[in-house]
Amino acid sequence: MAHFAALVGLGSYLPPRRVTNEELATMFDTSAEWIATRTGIRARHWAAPGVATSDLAVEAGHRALKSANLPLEPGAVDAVVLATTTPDHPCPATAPQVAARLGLGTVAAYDIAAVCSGFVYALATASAQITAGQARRVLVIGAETYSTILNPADRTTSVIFGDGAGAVVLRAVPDADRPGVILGVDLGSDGSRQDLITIPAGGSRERSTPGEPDPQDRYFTMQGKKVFAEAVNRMGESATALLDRVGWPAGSVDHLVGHQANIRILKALAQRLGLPEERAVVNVDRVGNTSAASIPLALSDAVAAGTLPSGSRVLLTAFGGGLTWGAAALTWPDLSAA
Amino acid sequence: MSTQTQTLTDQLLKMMTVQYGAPEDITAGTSFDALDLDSLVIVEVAVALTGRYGVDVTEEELHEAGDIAGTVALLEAKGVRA
Repeated sequence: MAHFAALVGLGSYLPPRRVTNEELATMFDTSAEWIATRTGIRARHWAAPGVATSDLAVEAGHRALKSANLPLEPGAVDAVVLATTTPDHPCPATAPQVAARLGLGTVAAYDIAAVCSGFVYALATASAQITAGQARRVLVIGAETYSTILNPADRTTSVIFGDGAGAVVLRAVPDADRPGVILGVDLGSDGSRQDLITIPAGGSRERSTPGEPDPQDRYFTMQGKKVFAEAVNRMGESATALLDRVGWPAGSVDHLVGHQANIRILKALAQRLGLPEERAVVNVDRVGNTSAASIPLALSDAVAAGTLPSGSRVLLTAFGGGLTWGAAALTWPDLSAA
Repeated sequence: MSTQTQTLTDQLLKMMTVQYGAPEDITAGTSFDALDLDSLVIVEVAVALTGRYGVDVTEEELHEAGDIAGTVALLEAKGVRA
């Protein structure tokens, strides 16, 4: 029997400390207004010292399972997929620890490293496990603590990124026309431009340079303007290819849920796809760029605000380091976010 | 100036003033640097031109083009027809 993967649960978690532009303006040579006009961001959340990515992932995962009416016990899901750029440790992956702490037993658990595109990559992988018959239910989490990799000397990245986690539950269903079914995905990458978004040190390439690495190379770096253009161009191409495959005219998309990097990217993307700006779901103003967590956080916000009704056509699209990008299409299910 | 060049010039003048906040009195020869636009605008214009005309346009190319007349020449060199 054919299986389709349907989204049946959604949850999110933000660490309590809210950092406003005004606070950042006291730390960096910038102004609250400069940050707001360049990025659309007014506040973001940063985890307290001692709080790691798994801590946020466990909270969001718990809430998504609750939203799907699933218990915290072995057998609730068959796999846990965690998208992150900021794992608790370089080794091992963070997902097994999250699965264990959620009481989910000895399920398959693995991390996905696709930076800001991570959630869409994880969704695609989890969906494929279900359609292949390898899993009936999968917990997919995007969780990040970028505050642990931001360079305090680099105001351009420090004002953009926030911490947070979002999660969804996918479940096998027999029919494709049921709301929530992942109707299609599109993934891509361009490793020739890996230098645009990178943490230069800390990996096996570090040994290629003699001596101790520059401490600055332990931090996240991004070439913002080049990334802006690549993001709009790649997300535009990917979304267009997916819409064509799914058979949705671009104008029929009700909600464009793009990676929340910068409001001006979201607007440019809506324009590229020929959609009115108001169809773009926006919460970057409140949470900043939370990388792999951004799409489920934006979905949770929209559900909580009542602006994402069941039956509406939703297009997810993301872009990140790698370079990587991806898109997914689904009709929104009837669920309440936790 | 050919009709085609004139049309592209008009399209770009309109885009710069209506969408990106350039002053109404700019001409094809007004330097982008003189417009006092924030640093992301030229990137946004490059992206918008890429989408509108279906050719790759980068921020660096627009800085080199310098003004709308230069940008029209750039687009024409890439095969764009109004």
